[in-house]
Amino acid sequence: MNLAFTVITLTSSFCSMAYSMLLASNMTEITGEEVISQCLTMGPYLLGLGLGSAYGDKIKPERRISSLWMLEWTSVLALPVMPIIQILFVFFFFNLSAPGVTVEGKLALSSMLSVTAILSFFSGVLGGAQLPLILKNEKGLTQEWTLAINYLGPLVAGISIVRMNQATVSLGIQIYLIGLVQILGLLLLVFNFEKALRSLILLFIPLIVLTATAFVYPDVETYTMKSLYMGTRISSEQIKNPSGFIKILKHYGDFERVRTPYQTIDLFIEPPEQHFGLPGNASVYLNRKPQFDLFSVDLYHETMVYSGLNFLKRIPENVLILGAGDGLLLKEFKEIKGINKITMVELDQMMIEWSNTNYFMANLNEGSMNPPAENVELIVGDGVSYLRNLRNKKFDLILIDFPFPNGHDLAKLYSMEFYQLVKRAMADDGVAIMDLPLYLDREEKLSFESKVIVKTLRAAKLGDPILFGGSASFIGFKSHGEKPRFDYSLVPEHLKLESALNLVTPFREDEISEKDWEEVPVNTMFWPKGL
Amino acid sequence: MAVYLFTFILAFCSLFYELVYAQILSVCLGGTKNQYITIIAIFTFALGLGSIMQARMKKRFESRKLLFWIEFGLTVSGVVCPFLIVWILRPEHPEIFRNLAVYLSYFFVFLVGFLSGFEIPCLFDMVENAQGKVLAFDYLGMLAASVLFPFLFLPYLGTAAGLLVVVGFNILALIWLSIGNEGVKISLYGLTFLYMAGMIYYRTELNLVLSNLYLGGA
Repeated sequence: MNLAFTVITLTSSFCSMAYSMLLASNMTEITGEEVISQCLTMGPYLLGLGLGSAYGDKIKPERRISSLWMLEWTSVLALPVMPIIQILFVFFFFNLSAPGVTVEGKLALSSMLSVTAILSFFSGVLGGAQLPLILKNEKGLTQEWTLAINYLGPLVAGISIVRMNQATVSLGIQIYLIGLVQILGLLLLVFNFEKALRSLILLFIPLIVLTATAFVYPDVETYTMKSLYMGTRISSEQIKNPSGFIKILKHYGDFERVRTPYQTIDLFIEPPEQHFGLPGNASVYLNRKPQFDLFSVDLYHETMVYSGLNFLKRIPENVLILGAGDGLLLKEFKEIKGINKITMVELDQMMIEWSNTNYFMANLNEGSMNPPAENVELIVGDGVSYLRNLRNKKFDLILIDFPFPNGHDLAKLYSMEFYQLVKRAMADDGVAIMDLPLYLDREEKLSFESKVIVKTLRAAKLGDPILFGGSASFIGFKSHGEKPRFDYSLVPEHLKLESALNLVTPFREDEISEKDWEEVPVNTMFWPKGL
Repeated sequence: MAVYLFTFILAFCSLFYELVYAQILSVCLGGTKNQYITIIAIFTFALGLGSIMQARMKKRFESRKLLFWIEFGLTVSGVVCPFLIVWILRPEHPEIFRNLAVYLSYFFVFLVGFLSGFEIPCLFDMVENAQGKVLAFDYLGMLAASVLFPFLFLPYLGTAAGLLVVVGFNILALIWLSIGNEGVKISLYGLTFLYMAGMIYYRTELNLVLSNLYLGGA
């Protein structure tokens, strides 16, 4: 009897916390807002835990076992379905909203977070209500032991979810594994309190629900992502007859999703245009945010590399590339002779492996990392830690190719502290080039986010920056002094026309003067602002 | 009513400290999502162990006195530990020290949860037949922390200043628990609010202290 109570105590606290954490992880992935997603999931969960516990405390003694039984059943049937409800909400929210509504919009963000908070609260209520029922059961363990085991559940849940995330276990499998643990608790309850065989047979119901959920989840997720990337909307006709709409989502284009311990990589390949025989576009998204597509890939990478060389006015001896695990920057360096050493630091080993093995990516990067050239040192690690650990090593050219600062983790890479580390790693006449995200706002002015980046660079006491690139925008700067200058006579002839034009398009001076920038904050790691 | 207000404040402070740890560790070690998950898990576990420990200690210590020392510990750790974590996790330390520093950081996380676990049972002992209300205010305090941290404290005050302002709330609780004289109590409350206003005024400088500790004089 004691064993049954021990297991039920552990499984109920483990599962309610674990599902809540899954909801938080899922929301983080969709919105890119790590801190807000985590806080607004865990807060309601703890509130639910408390209110559930207060509710459980008030249940009359004669109803305790039946209530525990009912709560276990509700949990085992409802909790595994929550991640599906969450993703379906995202799907329907966007497909039923007006065109132009995006995940980044305030309405979308607050709606998605609210639904997640409600689901997490419900998960807390179910977990919390069971504890007083177990505590007050005379057949159970002592109160102290029950409490101790109950509090062990969240710890095990936290460790398990982190481990599964690191091992890139898919969400469907995570749902299934947690659900199996929950069914184990219910099984023990059946053996101890409901001896009839009927109850044992009933256990197949949650098992079927769980299996169906885990089985269906990947498809629901794929259709939702394809729908978001294509910007589909459901018409009233399609609501009445959804089969055509689902058919489009199922068959239109190829979608591949790779989860790594650090990010989610999506590759969406559109089918070729049949009538004119044009190839279909292919787009790569990191954490659901666009990185590049087939038509912009050369423009972006050629501009970055050749602007750096142009500012430097010589072949660099030591080059540092931060990020760029897709191998596309390294591809550009294949053509450039005389560089002593190129050090590339990429956090995500799986990104490198995927870029080496995926047919589309391997063609794009021309096998630049498989294997890397003799003068290339490929380091798998965190770029910030690498810079923090650098002693006296200096680089002539530093290329910073990080994803856009969507979310807290990435905003750290656009912070004053990070730029100070870059300054420390630059040779005296060295040059650094970084991507300038979100160049223009709706009024064709420098966007607020770009101003934050420029102001943060200046706060780090780097040299005056130059902003350039009309189609794909970048910032170039030295470690100190005046801004780097272009020498247009050095622009190589083999560059594609759009890259050459992009390269020689600096921003107007008035756009980057700090006049009227008082309201623009400096972004730091410990005070993230403006991004 | 004061008991309920301070229940709210104590719960708010406890979860707030943990969120600050999550924020700092995600800067120093990376992986925001996993840091938050790990810290909430450790916090909940430690909270439970703390409440069990209180049940064993309450025969030997009077609840109000015990709660005072618990809050004293939380206030001191609230001021010292986050800054200490940033310093001990600096890359120039020997590798073995840095590995130990990671465990030590999570121990600080555990410590806040463990000490916070004493709070509710102590507050239960201080009120009669109103345990439900105490629990309700406790959970509301935690909810407030989880909402105000990302939307108010982090964007408007930053990690360091936000933390030191919240330490002020813990000092208010210490005064409430230890001072009997109403006049002295009100004066000390006033001084604490002044301290909190100072922390808000010097928010930029306070956050730069963390940045400098992180960079090690870069």
